[in-house]
Amino acid sequence: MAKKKLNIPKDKLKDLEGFEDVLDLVDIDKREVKKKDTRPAQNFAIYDFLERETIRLKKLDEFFSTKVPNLNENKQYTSLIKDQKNNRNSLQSNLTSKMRDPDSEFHHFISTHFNKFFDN
Amino acid sequence: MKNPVLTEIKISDYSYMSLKQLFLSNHVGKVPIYFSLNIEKEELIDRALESVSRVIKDLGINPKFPFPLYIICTKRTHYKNLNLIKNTLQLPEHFKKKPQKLKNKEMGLLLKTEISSSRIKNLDIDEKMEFIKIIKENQKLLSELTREAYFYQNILEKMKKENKHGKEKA
Repeated sequence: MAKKKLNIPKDKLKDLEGFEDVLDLVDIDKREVKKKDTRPAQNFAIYDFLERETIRLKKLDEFFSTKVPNLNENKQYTSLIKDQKNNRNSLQSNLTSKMRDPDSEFHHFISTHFNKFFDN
Repeated sequence: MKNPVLTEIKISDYSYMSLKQLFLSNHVGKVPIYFSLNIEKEELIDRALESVSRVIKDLGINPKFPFPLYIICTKRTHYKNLNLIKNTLQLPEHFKKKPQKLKNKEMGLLLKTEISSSRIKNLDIDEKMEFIKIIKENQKLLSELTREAYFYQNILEKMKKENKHGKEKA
């Protein structure tokens, strides 16, 4: 089989002087060519979507069938609201009684401001 | 079962019977659906929305779960429990997929989604939503009470500190 001739530009031919023997070893026909992937492109987008959809629906199912009925059975907020109302009322009465006291800081503060205002 | 990707339906007649027919044939409630409300007159918009609301109630469909029904309406933002949006950009990206033929593996997953969605449909979602609403209101009340109590507590502590300082100075 006749050897294929390499087409090298003249200006680059000078650089290759002395390497003729090495160039003979290069087999032009057996150059590595990347094979094209002929398999159909696998699209996982819809698979991924369905997987996420399964998880979403499972979570919704769990929420509506387990968590919400649980909350309904163990109504914590009624007792918490009652406790918090009692706490708020006791704090409020404590605060008002302290403010009503004629020796309190509040009275003192208000009286100094009133006095300043009316004196002027 | 249909692949649960977002599908558009065209509605020209908003009468009860035709809507019911259209919703049944397009599997509303079994797949995510949206349609545009191309009505200009304000009165007719309300009438159309009322009709849609009545049909989904009679068909036992919840407009939110398991698969949503979106209505594109530029003139209303709320109507009962319907999902009203301004434009297609507000549609959830999650459901925006091209419908395509499913392979065996994907069919298996679809079957799973069907089981979960039918389980959700069998639950009384409206009742649960009502209960969630009550919980929400109570949680809000509890939060307000706690904030108020914290406010009083803070004032009392400051007064205590001031009194201590005052006595030390005296």
